[in-house]
Amino acid sequence: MKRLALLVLVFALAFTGVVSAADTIRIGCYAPLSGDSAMVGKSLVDGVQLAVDEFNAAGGIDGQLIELFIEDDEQTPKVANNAVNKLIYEDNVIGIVGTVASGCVLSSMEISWDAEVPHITPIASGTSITHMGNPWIARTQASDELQAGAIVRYAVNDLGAKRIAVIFQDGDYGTGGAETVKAILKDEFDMEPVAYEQFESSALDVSAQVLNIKNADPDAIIIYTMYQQGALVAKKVRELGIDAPLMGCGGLTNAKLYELGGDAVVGLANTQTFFADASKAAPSAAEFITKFQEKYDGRIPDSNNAMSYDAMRIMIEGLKYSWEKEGSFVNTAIMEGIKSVKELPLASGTITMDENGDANRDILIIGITDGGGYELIK
Amino acid sequence: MVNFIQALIQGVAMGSLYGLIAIGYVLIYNAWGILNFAQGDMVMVGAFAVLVTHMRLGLPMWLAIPVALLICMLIGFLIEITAFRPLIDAIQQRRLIATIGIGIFLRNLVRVVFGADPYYFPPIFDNTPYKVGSLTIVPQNIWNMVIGFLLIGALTLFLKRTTMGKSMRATAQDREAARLMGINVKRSMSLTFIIASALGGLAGMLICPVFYVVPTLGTSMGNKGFSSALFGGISSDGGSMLGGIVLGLLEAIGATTISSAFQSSIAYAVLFLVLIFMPNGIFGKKESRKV
Repeated sequence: MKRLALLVLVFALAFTGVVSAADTIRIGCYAPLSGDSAMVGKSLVDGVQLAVDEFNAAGGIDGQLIELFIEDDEQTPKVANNAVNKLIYEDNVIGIVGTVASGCVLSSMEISWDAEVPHITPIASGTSITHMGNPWIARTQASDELQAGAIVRYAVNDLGAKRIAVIFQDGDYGTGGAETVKAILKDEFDMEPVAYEQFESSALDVSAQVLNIKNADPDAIIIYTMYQQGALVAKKVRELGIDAPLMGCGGLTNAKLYELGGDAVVGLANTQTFFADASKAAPSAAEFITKFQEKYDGRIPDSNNAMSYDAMRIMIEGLKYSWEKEGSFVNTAIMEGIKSVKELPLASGTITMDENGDANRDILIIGITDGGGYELIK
Repeated sequence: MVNFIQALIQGVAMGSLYGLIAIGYVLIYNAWGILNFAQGDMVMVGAFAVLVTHMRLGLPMWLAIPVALLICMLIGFLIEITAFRPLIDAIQQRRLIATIGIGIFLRNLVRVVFGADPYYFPPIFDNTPYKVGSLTIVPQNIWNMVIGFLLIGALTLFLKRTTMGKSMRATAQDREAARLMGINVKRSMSLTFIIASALGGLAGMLICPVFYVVPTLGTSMGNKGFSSALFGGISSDGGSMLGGIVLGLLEAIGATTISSAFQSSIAYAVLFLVLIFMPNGIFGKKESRKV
């Protein structure tokens, strides 16, 4: 048995050795490709792959093409750490794009940080990722800070809300986001949420929380959850006869939201970085939509596809910068290139990277229409 | 006050579902002397069974539910003969681990077949809320309560009045003595398992219109059901139903009167206290076998 394992290992090593030609730029990509979040993981890889194919088809950098190494992280921090370790120390990649969950990014970026390998995360939104002093991390997702700010300003400035209720699921995404909402309400508008309700992500019933909200009589309700819990909250809100407008952030965008929530979610507004309608989108986004549909048999790209594509595009900007400056691919120069991206029109907006590695751009507000479609609110 | 009553209604409605699952734990514990940690996953199996019969096969609801129940019973029976019966004389830990293993297997099997995303399920009863004064009543919740109590009544009658039920109770009390009295022990143990699986499955069918159908349903429901069984006393069928309602009420009232952030903490803190001072649960009989 041991001998067999050894044999397999030898073959595996030999195989990876054969694949890599001399003149390739080795880039790693990791995402949840199995388990509950496999669909999002696939979106990530599809977006990244499109950017890589496009780059390679255009001849790469002086003929040097990108070779992509893909690993599964199973949406588990431990497995994500293994994936990044393998990418850096076995596959010898010089840049990494991944992954989805903030928890996985926070744990696995310690490894790329130690190894000083430029790392861009496309989808994770946790504010802390880019605020821990890690100089090797960047992200294309709009951070919770950007998204929460956009939705709070929409509620107060555009809807004139004075009594805002916040409901959120426990865990990094919900708690982190809700705290950010609370802080922005306080700092910018000197307001306190009239209700601040938390529930377990696995909760089957949110009646108690929604009753508290009803009692507080809000004129806007911010839901900081993923779509599954968002639909549950929206249904309960309408069932208990509250008619305040509902709104939230990127985690709510999913076709399943309407499927699960039905009429209760119609009118719900949420932040987004990407709107998949070529006729209304910015030219750079429209171009992405067309290219994506060509490659993937007419499938309509979602925001995760767009942000992953952008992450790879920004990585490529870093590579180009390093090649021009140093004549080779040096980690410090690649990272410098990534952070010096300015007003670059990409799929998920015109992006300017800041010193923390966050991608700043205008945040869109989209709303659900009758029948489950989306409209661009602003 | 209105809010408090509203919270009470929601608490009892959820609690009666917890109770249905709890009875499954209790039945199997008494007959087999072991906690079946796959009981929660039978809830999930029930939800998916009715999803298939009603949404995929398009059977009308009155037919879809009985067919789904039969599927649950069949799956329960299969679990019994593959993972329980062969291990009947094995040491306790092995048997316990087998039940955990079956749970993991069922969850992942369903995830592979149906995917991880939740499915919508239409209301079985009318789901449009109506108003009584300033209270909002959702018919499905009331029905869940009524069905929960009817079933526990029916089960009690079955166990106390029918020969089959009596032989199940006899087997639960003392397997060897029951065998000597000429009771078909194997059959009554299987029957217990099948009934417990059906009860779990039914709870799943009742929860999916107010929640969704999702592979992880069993984990959350299973935990609640297990806690309810401990609350009520693992040896008492009726007690576990009341245990479920106590748990549901604690969750609802704790979240509305104290803080929603501590919803589960409050409920489980009370559970710890109960177990410290009344190790047999609130309604459990004193006996040597404890959890």
